[in-house]
Amino acid sequence: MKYSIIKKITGIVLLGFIFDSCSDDILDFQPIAAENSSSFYLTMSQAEQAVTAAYSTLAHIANWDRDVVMIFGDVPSDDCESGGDFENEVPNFEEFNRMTHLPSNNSLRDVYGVLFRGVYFSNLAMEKISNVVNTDPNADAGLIEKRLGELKFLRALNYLYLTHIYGEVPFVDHVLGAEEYNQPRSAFRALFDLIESDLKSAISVLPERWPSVSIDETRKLRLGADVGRATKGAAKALLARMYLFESSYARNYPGDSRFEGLRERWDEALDYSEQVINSGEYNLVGIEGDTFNTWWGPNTNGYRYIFTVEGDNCLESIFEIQYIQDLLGYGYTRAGSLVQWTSARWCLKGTEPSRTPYWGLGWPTESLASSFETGDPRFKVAIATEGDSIEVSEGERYPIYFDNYHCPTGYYQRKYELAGSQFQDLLRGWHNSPYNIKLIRLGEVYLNAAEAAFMLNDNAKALNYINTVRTRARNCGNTGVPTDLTGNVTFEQLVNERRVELSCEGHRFFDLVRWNLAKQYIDGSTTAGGFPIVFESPKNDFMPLPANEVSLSGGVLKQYSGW
Amino acid sequence: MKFLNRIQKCTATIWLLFFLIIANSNFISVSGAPGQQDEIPISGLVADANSNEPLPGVSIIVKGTSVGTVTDMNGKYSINVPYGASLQFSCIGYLKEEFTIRDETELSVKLVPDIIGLEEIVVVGYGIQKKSDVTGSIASVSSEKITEVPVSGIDHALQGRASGVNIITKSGRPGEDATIQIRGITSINAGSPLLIVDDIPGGSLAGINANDIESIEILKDASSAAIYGVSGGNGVIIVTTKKGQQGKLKTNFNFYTGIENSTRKLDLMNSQQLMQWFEETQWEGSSPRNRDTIATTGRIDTLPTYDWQGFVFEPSHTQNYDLTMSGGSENSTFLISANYFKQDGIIRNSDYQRYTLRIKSDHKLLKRIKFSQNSYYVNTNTDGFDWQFHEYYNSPIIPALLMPPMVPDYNEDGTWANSDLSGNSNPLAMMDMINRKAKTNDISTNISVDIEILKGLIFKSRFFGNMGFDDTKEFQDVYYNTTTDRRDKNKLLGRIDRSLDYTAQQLLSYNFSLLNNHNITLLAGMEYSRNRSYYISGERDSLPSPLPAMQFFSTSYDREAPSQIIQGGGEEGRKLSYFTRLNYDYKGKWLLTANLRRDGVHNLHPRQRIGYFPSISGGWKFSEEEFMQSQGLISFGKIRIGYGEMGAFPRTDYPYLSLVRTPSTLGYSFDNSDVSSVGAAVIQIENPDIKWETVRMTNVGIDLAFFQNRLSVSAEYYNKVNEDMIMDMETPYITGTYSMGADFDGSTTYPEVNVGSIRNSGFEFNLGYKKMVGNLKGSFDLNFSTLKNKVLDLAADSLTRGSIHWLNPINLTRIGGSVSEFWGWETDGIFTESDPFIIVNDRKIITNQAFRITDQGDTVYAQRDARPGDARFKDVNGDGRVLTDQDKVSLGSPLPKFIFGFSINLEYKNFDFSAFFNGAYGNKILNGIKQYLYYRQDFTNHAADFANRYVENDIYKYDPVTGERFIAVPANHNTTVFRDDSKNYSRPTDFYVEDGSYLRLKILNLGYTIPAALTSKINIQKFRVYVGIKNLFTITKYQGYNPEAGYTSEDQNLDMGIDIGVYPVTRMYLIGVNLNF
Repeated sequence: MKYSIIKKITGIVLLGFIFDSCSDDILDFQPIAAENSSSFYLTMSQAEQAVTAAYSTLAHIANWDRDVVMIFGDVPSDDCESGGDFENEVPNFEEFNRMTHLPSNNSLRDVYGVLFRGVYFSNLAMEKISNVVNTDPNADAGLIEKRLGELKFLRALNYLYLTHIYGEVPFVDHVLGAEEYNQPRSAFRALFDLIESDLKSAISVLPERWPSVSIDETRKLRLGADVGRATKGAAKALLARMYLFESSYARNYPGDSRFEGLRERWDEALDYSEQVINSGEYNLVGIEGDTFNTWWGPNTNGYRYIFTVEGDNCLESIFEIQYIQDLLGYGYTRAGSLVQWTSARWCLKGTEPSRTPYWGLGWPTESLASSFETGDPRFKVAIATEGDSIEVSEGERYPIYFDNYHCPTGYYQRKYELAGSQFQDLLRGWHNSPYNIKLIRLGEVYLNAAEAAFMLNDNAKALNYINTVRTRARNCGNTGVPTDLTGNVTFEQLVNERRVELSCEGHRFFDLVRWNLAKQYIDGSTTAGGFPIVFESPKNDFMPLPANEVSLSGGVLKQYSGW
Repeated sequence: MKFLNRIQKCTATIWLLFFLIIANSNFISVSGAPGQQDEIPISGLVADANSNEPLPGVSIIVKGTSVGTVTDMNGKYSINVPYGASLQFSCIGYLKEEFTIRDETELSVKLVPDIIGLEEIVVVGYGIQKKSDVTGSIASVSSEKITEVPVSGIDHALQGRASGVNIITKSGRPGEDATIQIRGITSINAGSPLLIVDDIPGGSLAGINANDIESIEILKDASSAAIYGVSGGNGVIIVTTKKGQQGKLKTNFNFYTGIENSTRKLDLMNSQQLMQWFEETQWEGSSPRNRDTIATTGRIDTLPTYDWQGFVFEPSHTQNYDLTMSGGSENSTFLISANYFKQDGIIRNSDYQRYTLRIKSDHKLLKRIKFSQNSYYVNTNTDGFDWQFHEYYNSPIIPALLMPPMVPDYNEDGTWANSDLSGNSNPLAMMDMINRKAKTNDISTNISVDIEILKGLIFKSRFFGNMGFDDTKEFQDVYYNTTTDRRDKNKLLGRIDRSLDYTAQQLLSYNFSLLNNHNITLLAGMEYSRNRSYYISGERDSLPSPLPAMQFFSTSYDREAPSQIIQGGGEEGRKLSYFTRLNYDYKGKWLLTANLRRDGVHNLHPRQRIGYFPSISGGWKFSEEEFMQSQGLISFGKIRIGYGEMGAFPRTDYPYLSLVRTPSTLGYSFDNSDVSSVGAAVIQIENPDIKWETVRMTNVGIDLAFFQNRLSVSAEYYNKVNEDMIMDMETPYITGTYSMGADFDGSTTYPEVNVGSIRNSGFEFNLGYKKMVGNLKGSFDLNFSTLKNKVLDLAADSLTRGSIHWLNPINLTRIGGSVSEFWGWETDGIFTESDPFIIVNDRKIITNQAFRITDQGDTVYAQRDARPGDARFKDVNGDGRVLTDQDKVSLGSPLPKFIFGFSINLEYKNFDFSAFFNGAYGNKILNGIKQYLYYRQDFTNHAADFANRYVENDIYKYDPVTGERFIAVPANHNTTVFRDDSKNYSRPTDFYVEDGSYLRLKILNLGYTIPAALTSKINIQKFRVYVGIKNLFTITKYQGYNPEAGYTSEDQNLDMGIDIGVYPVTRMYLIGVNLNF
């Protein structure tokens, strides 16, 4: 009896050890919670997911530390200072304001990384999704073609920003193999050719308006399942912007080897801008003096309406980064951070200075403020001054507080303010603001057209387009300002109109560089705190490539001279 | 059918060897058969060789039989012995003696105290060995040493106990694991030593009850650890638990309780000093014409100063209970032990509790078959913050330091007090509102069968299984502290983790002698292990009510917003190993050990999956040689040398595959709603050639004992090189490898390659001394180790990591340096009033600083806006600019140059005393707390010496009541701290890097054992009471809380040594009892 129990126990134990073991075959199994790429990209829905990933990086473009709009478009220019609670609160950003940045600045690395990750996801999806029509009987070949158009738009968008910021960057039009990792800078010519051909093929396949999208005429909004996707108009507007940059570089930097092979293509810039203007899809919101119901009030003017949550995907907007409720929390969350960062930092509760929940970054400068004509309604939309108030949480509104220490320029941005309720009532608290960043809007397209026409000596057109923009501005207020320009449009008028209309939207620095005016406007100025800025051209025309990228390349990727 | 084939195949593998050995054994005479002899009665006295006192309880056995006796109370014995047989005398604490009996009738024996434990058995990989025969490098730590220091986990108890083993207390948080580095940083990939508990790999030291431990062995060199193959690269820690002893029921009860508090407070400014700083910034901020008239705050003399460190840290209570019962018959023994440990934590709501239960039994089923079972249950409960990432945002410590000191803890209405001026919100809110409980449960069982097939030939089979059930639940209720520190919707977070691991192990060992002088032990074995785990986590917002009964996920959901989100993941791992070992000795003088292991893992490409790990070591016990016998000084001497290869493989997923994942970071919203579409992408670049890291180590050592083993010394040197170190091949971002930092599955995007190489080398020294003078017994132990780390190769020129607040990057790892050196700028004093200057555009520019001439011929000074009180930075490369990347230098290494520990134990009559010190020398710390305490922002408090900053002019104020003009802030031109401008403080500079060397009195214990004469009346064998102080003092120049603070990220060793304001280490006063009955 005892024996048999013992036998059983030993038997079971021994069997247990031998069971399921002993051959290397048992080591052969696949991950249990991830997909191998060879078994993915086979169905229409997987193709859709690949395209979604390519869009996803857009949301990172507007995240903390990676903001193309503010850090690179505005802070290095004469429009905004880095700001915050005091000058140099965020040294990483302040360096761009002071032009003391180094190639090791983390923001340079982050933005470069995000933009190229966007390029990578687009390339990856482009290579994979075409095959879905062969593997999924329910795949929609027509839709796949449109998705490829969207991917090309996205690649072009990422690349255009890369050239704005860094100048010539490596050319990557496919998923790189291991032997291709080390790439030198590519000439502007090749990059612009890629952007141009991408956008042209996007234009050929993308719809003017996605079938699911409908228009709310009263609110001047686009609504629907695909409202966030790229369209024909977006591709055309972006292409016009590229032609404008190419033409400007070619005209303003003759003989500069960086821009070799670039041509003045003002006619194409004008043509594509006009195609967008005349498409009937877009509208300068508020041009007829119409008003909208927003948190600011029931009769919010059209220009302000563009910059509200209520005005997300309005008819002014041609392409915008859709806010994402991603629940990732501080440090990870995406989109809409501009609201958090730029609104006024200090308010007055009674006589006591007190903090708002906002960070007060990107102080507008005196130079920007004074470029607005007195009475221009756009001033009040863009800039907060002494006497303005801010809503710090639902129903709590206080005067904005200024002093020389906390905001020596005396101005805060206010294009991106939200209602306290919109701002606070968020799942993840205060790092995530439900505002879509308008990357391309009709106001810019009109000014692009005006500039191209001006360069083509078509004063009538230039005058018409610039005055249309001014008319809308005028009709958003009751001061009769700005008035229509008359006679010959001057270059200075174009420059100033662009500065005013698109202030704090991430254009100014890139524009100054393409006009070769950056040194003139920036060098020798001082920050509000008194730091003397030295702007060296050509060194400071573009940001240095991230130090790490250069070091990884072992000499293949070279900084521009001066770095 | 396949299954049967498999069985056949493996049975063949195992048993082939088995039969070979059995077949061989027929030719070997194991020992001579005893002849038919008469038995001789023999008797005598056994005494201590040093003190001559008779020894009771010495066990005397006729060698090769089970015949034996023990000495009586007077040290006397008598026994009948066959002619020519050998008698073995053994007693714990004494060297074994053996005598062959021929014509004697009386044999008195003196036993030599075994000071250095030569006769001790040490546990080696898959077996045991006599300590004196060990040829590798193995450190043993006894159970007494482990239980001497009252700590939550035995990883902390090992600190300072063994040379070459660097243990770093990352923080003082209850339940926090320590970082264990055996012989340096083996790899840039974080890896911890392999833990073996009762022969089974896996588990964590923190979950083991210290009182269950019989001994701990640390296998430091490759010749010892190579038998663990791919898992041995970071060293191996073997824990052996106690087992039941034959005899009547024995009960052992231990208890201690202690009061803890922070060991140190940081010096901060008081309210007056902070207000002066505020006056100064207001003055700077106001327009010049108003400066003389503003009266911001009036008189500040009467403002109170509250101690915010006192609000956050409070004395806390720790208690520990152990109960062990054991006993058994000749055929069965058992041991049951239970432990309860509770540490409250000096920060409210950070409690840690642990329950353990172990049931272990050993049975002799038949004469040659033994069966044993060992079951273990451990439950831990950790309350409070998720300190896992040690973030500023998850800790009340930095916010407490920053609170303006005039603000009290609570307002009169019970709400949290705050300052409107300050962007720092009251940290008591997060302490009060935290409601998080993390529980872990582990149930494991190890069953084993040992069969003695023939004499010396033993087959062992083990099967081990572990189930883990972990649950975390956090409820965040609605609260309002400040406009930014608030929660408007309540939220529930939950996570469950499940795991199931099992290991099967079969060992065959054969021990025999050839021609009497050649002793051989052969071991062959196989091991198969498999682990599978998954987790599910979720969040739910806006619960209908905060009542505990409603704190669950619900079936309903809000259509408007994703009020409930769920995520999860899982992984499975398998490993199959075969190994073999040869131990050989010639006459007990010449020793040789050789190992070979073959490992196979699942997560590498099939052609890279299998690896072989050999090792060999030899030793010469020269004290056994005849020429050594005539001298009396050296009582033991051994030289040993070894070489081996081990592996390290830090990854659990599949670096050889290109994996597609769908983390939420890849989603996007197309319809402007809150719901994102799912995005998927290849976010891991594959490398089919990836294989494990190979760690090669050479070890030479010498062990010596002097004066009849009263003094023992051992010294050794090792050289350990990790080749083929796995690292991310940092590809340019054009390959799409930028990490968003939020891929919840934790995957990296870079391809991994075997490119890097790191060398660690060091010298280790151990000394032990014991002496008895009259009733005073004393012992002294010292260990000392040097650590040298050098990076030989990397996949990139250098790797930069590490950040705190605005400081980044902080650490640099580059070829030729050591891992994770601090990297930054050097300061060169402070600009003063007396520095020469010029005036340009109405601005003063100080001229005794670096400058350059531009192409236009203009002079550009390096620090154009420098003012008196600012830091002067060094222009290291002389290019006329400062603070460029070329001006950055190494500011030291976070790795110590040497570490040490020493202890003194004294016993006098019934009193016992022990003191244990440990320390490190030469390690630097980046004091990240200073980044908060000097860098001005948000009207927050500062370090005390900041009050001595530069102030240009006297700043006047008018008293708002009396109108009296007074000096609110006096001018100060003679200063030792930088002015309060962020540029002085916003970068990694030598200002932040401090010397982290320290010497700590880790424990001081004084005990008294009540005389047995008294306690035996109430059936108590031993009754000891003791008092102790843990961390009584720490001598260090470091200015933060703890010179060990060495936060490092979870997966890599590239950002070591940054003190981000971690939970302080505590001092504890304790009292305890030990009871045996």
